[in-house]
Amino acid sequence: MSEALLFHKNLGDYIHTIAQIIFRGELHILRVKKLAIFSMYSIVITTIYNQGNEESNNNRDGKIGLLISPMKFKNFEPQLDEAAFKYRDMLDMPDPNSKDPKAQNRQDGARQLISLLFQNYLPLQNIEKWRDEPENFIE
Amino acid sequence: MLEYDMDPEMTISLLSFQLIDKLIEKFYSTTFPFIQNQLL
Repeated sequence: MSEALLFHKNLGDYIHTIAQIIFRGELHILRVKKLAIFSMYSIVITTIYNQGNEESNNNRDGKIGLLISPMKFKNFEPQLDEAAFKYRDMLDMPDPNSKDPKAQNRQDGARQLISLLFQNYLPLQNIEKWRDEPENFIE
Repeated sequence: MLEYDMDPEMTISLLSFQLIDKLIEKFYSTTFPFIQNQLL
């Protein structure tokens, strides 16, 4: 949890920077891009950023693991809320029906990332192979 | 995990696939329709 909270104030900028590294083909070597993709993967799977994104489970304590006490989690609630907001603001889709203007103006980053990943690293002619024979997708 | 992912045998395409897989899982309502309508 502490590692994830290191970025809570700048999570939006961090996601944006990583995306720049992944897709600015002329600036970075392959190894750096692979590290950036791994970093983006780590952000996407970090559970505490998703706390408001899983409607089926309202038990927040259950999402952060057994090793973190509810009291310790309580102490970090402001930081976690800020991180979760920035995570959703960058990656989630806008909600035009929301009364919250911030929800209406989310960046829709997850969809854009997928689109850019396909355009840059997954040639369209391979998609059918990927769907039917995933092992052919591996170069 | 990082050591494995940075191995030369691990291609950037496969890493991209893994990231896409998680993006679909975490943001299903917007990403899956996009994949269906635009790419497949």
